[in-house]
Amino acid sequence: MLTRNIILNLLLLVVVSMIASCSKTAITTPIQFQKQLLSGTGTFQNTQHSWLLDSAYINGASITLTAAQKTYKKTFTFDGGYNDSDNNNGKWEITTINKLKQTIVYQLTNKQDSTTYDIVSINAARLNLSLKLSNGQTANYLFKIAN
Amino acid sequence: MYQSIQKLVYKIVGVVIITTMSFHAIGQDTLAGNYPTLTLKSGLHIIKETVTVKGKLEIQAGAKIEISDPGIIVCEGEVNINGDKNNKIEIFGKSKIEGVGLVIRNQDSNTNSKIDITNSVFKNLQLPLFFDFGWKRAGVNISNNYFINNIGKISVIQVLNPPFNFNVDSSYIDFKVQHNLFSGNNSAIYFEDLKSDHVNIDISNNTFFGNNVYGYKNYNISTNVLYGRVDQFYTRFSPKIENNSFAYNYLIDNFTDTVVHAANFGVYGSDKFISLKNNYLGATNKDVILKSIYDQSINYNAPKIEYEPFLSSPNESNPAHLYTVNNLDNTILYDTLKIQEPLKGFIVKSNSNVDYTKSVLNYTYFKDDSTLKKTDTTLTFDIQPNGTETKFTITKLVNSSKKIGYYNLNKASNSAGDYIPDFKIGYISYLNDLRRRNVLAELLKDKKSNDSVRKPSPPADSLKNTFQKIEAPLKSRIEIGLLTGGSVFLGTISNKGSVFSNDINMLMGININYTIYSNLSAGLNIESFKLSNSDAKSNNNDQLARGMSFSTSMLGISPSINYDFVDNRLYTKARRIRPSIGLGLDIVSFSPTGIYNGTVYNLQPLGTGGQYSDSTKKPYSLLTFGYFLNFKVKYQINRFNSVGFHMSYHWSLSPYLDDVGPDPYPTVASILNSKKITNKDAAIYFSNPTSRYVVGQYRNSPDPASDKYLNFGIYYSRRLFK
Repeated sequence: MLTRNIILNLLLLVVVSMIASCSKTAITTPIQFQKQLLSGTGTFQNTQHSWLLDSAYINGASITLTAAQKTYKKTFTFDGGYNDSDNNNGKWEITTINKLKQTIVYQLTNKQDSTTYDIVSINAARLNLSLKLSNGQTANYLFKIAN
Repeated sequence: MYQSIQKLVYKIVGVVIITTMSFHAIGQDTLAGNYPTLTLKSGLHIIKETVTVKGKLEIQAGAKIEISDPGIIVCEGEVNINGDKNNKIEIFGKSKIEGVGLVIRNQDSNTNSKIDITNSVFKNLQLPLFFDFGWKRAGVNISNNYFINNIGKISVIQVLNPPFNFNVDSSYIDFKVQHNLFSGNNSAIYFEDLKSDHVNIDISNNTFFGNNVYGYKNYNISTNVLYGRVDQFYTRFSPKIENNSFAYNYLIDNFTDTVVHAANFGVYGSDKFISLKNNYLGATNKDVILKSIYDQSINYNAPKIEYEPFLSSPNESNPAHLYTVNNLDNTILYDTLKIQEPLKGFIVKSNSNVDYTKSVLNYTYFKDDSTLKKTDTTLTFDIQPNGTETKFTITKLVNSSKKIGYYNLNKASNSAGDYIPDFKIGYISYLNDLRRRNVLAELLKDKKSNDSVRKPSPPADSLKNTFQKIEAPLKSRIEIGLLTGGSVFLGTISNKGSVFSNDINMLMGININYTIYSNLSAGLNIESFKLSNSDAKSNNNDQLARGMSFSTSMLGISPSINYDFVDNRLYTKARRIRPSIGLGLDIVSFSPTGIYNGTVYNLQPLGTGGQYSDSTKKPYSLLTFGYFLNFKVKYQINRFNSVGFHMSYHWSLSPYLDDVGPDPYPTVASILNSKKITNKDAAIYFSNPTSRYVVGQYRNSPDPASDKYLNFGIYYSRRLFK
């Protein structure tokens, strides 16, 4: 009788501990997911994403990129750091979905400036940023991943 | 009118004929039941049960009657078993199922009826002749018969007292036992009263040769080949026991099968003496003779046996037999001789002329010092007859390496071609050595069985008893169970170092178990569970960098075959815990998914391995086969209910349970260009979630693509039917 009780209680314990140890799916918020696409998850070898300028449009019209522009690259680190191929450094943040705010300290002028892009689209390979220019025109910058 | 009277007369005559007719059995037949009279003619007759003959039993010359246990012939009337000298009657027991024999019972209504048994052979029976309590006939004549090799240990002939009125009945029975050969029997001839007022016993000219009366180590009255009571109370008829030959009769110990004592004649009762004069008592030396009779010299209360004068050799008219053996130099070759060196020859003496032309001389000896292995050789010899003495010169000598052996001279016959008992030399010592070897063999056997007792292999579960058929009805062999527990994916996307650092997901299922044999059962599991995992759980840097994850619902049907360590037929409290192992096949449906931007996507339609962007590839199937090893420990709560722990390790034949197969990473461009992929963003993401530079790499790198998973948990099962 004692053995039977021990065994039954043991099985009950196994059931409870199994249910407790079952994996739970962690839900990633859209903002968080956008951040991860932009800069990586912070896991091994996934701490930053570099985006290479692929094409640009003004009011929907394609503009021809110079050779220097074709090698322009933005790098976002998962911890909010930013740098680009013009040796500018700064920070980035997404506090609202599809709004990428960059704060850059320009290397040549040492002047700090802040720009907020609209993220038209982003996936694991493509980044499309839109910016309202001071002249009222809309610029679109298309990047492709360049890790 | 006349016709009806005629019919009536025919009927009456018919009934009279049937009721008074004798039964005549001719040729081979099987006899059973009651017979008013019975005549058995020449031919084979078989008796397997009791045959009762109320009237006259007549057995004619040439009849052969085979009696098998429990067959017996009960004679309640006259008995006439008279063979011819050259055409004897044979009454014999069937080998290994020997029947009883003849029983003489009751008083016949015909007061003149007799028992007459002549020229017959009684062999291989349990109790050839039994004159039961209350039997009575006008006379008994048992003459010229052979009672040989009867296996029963009670009696060869047993004669109890017939009923007489002591005061008024002056009649008596002449009971003659003459010219019979008693040889190779396992028991004695017993008369309740050798001395009587109503039975006149005449035992003469018989040969009692080579009988082994079975008993125990103590030599007593009943352990002699002929014995009975002699009381002073009776005065009318003293038994006539003359001209008999008693040779080589022994008491054999039941336990050891060795010779205890010479055993010729025993007597008890209140009388002072009994005459045993003019018999050959196996020797010419009085001391040797005295050792073969049981009388006053051993037991003060027993009558004295007056055996002198005794015959120095058996009477020639007795049934032929060899009665003594000497060395070639004519010195006595004692029966206790231990033969370790082969004899060069010997001289045998017989009571009458013996024909040795067809005789065979065997020499049997042990091969070594301690085992039961023996060699049986047939020797060649020359004979030199000299009257009733014959000199045997052995011409083929055998090297027995000083191992004990004995000679057996057989198949000799008398001048008329009749049977002569086998004659053995050195047999007593051989039996003693055989006993020693048997004891050794028993000790060895005991030692082996003791050793085997120490081995922890209870017979009920030994391999010998594995897979024994079960007699239980089909439905009582079925057991149905519910199982639950967890599943852990151990394939491409998993932590290989630590099983339980991977995702553990819930498992539910049902199980049907069918007991095939005592230790073999078949099972069928239907299980629904989820597998999920992430490279983030790995401790491998390459996997961490890959950053893949997946989740899939699994529905599997899994037949299996299981070896049960405890006999399925047993239900004891001592055997409540019952482990089993097995193997089986999986038929599994699966569909790996991933979450992209908060939405769950089925991964297979995205062609994450380039299945839709490479024209040479095609999407993987969402149904696959697999195989697994199974281990269970069941705790039997009672005869019907049990709970237990189960664990199974599964190998999938598809490497795509986690969507990650042995495919190179597709390029983004190829995915974008594919028209079959509806959500390219998701496809790009899932094909390379960390956007690493992976040109030329395989998605499953650094691991093999094969997928495995472990299911474990507990279950409850119930036998639904008795």
